[in-house]
Amino acid sequence: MKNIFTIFLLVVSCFYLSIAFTFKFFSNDIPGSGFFPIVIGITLIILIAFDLIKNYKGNREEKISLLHISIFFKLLIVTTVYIAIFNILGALLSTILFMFVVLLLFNENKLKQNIILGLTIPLSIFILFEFLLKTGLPQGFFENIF
Amino acid sequence: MQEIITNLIQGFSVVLTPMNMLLLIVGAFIGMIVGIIPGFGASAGIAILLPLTLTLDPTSAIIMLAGIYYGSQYGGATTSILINTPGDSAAVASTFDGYPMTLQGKAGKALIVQAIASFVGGTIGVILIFTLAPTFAKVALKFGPPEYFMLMIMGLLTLIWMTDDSKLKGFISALIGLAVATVGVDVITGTPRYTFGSPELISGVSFIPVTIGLFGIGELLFRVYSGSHKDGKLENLDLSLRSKENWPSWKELMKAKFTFLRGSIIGFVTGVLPGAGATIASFFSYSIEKKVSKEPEKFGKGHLPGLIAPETANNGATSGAMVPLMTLGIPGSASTAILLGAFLMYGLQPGPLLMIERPDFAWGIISSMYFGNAILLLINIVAIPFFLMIVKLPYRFLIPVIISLCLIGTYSLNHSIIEIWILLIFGVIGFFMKLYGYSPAALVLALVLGPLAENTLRQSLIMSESGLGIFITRPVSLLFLVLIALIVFYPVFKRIFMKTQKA
Repeated sequence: MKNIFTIFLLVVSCFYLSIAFTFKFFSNDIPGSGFFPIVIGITLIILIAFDLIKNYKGNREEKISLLHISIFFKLLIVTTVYIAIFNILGALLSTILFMFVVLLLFNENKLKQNIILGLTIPLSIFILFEFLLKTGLPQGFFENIF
Repeated sequence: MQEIITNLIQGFSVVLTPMNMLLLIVGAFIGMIVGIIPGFGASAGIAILLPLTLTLDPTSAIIMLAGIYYGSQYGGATTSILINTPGDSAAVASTFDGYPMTLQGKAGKALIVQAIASFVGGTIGVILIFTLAPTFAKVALKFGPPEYFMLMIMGLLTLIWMTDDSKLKGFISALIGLAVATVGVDVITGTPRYTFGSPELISGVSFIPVTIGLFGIGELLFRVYSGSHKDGKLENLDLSLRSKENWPSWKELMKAKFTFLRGSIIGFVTGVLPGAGATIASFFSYSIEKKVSKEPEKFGKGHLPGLIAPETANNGATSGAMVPLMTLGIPGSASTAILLGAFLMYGLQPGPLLMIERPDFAWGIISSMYFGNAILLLINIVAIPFFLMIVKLPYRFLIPVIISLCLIGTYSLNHSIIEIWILLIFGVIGFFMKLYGYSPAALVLALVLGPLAENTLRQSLIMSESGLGIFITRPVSLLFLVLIALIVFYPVFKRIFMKTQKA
């Protein structure tokens, strides 16, 4: 898994460098917009490749722990959905749903507690940001209704 | 000397009125709370609360706004220590040793030391303003792009000192930070880089979602992955302030006396330079402290000097940043830029004439910073039991709260959904970085310094008639170059010398 992550970094660095070559390296004898990206890209690729070779030579592959991997991915998916619906449903409703679902995942078999917390905490956060700090959070489809 | 005493008396007489003291307390308290909210730093707090001060007289209004400014530095470190989620980038370095202290059950001690360090940093900063403001202002004027470029290189080199575990991975992390910093419009040529047609990426990737993602979300994901959200270690610890274990001893504080002094001075001097700021100051201070320490291996594992150094520095820097603002009218940071806006709104033009025509106002604001720091020390110590309740809460309740606060705090900055996605992406990256020994700190430092380094290099070459020779012909730049050469080559020479000695 470690080598997969390192390879992923290498691929992204190559992509970064390929775009860097579309910018000017030097312009009127001073470094152009491509100077830093090209230098950074080349150095990154060299160092990551070196790290990858070190990992393979040293047999430093570490197994990932599968013990909590299921809940880890569930949390990631729920957070992704939360962001996706944030503007659509509005800050308050999406946060209530997010809070409730995450509490169901981590605070199992405590439905009443989860409902109370799932309502009060998002409401408190919403009041703090929307009314006290006046930051202007998205209302979602409520914006059209009210 | 007589002039300093006169200014001191004048300043104190302005602050020590019931109204101004009340506004100072309110401003400092609000600043502290604002600083705790991830992503919601001083600049956002000052900007949003500016309308509240419209009915006040100018001196009182600026006293309150300045209170928000340095109060936020106190608050930003609280979440760094308790949940590894810095309130802003200046509080990142406080996570290195502050959070490990929480995991060791020393959260109370960490918060108290943080409050003391912030107070000392702020107080020494105020003393330096009183005594040396005009001198520092003259030196700051001598700083042009070549000097700033050298300073950025020194800042990036301090990464060498910070990344002991794996220097290779540290450099890779820093290069990733530099790469992320190239996203946006190139200010010299106007060329959009890596924006992929998105208008939101034109101004680049903000370091707030990156920082909160890497440290806050990354740490949270790591705890879930490793199952430590279930172990309940901290819930059963005695974190009460009645326990002597949760207070730093006088011996510990005296052992770190030079750390307090060094951090404050480094922070102040860095803060004086416009654009340098509290973030760079805190990283500089941490790196230098680690370098000069007799126990460098203890840094990053809950070592008190590792928390004291960045905290004194970032509060010293908030004082330092007031020097160019008050004496030259040049804001050194986003927060002081908004303060400058407030000054102008009230018909005050900061600069050399302000100190002469309105000494009551100028020295009143500076004096208020001393009292504000003292009040914040008291507020923090009183509020610590409430903060410690957060640590005692089962982590399963904190998980959704931390994620929601990080997300909404980040969204509040620029109302950008893309920044929330960046937060999540860097959260996942931060998780892998923690898992595989990369350095999120190096990434953040490079992200902050990268744009400054690139722009100042190119501006220097545009100014120069002798190409790279400009870095040698300017005395301050040459001094920095010599320091950089020492930093880079001294360890090499030392090793060669020791080898020849052994032979």
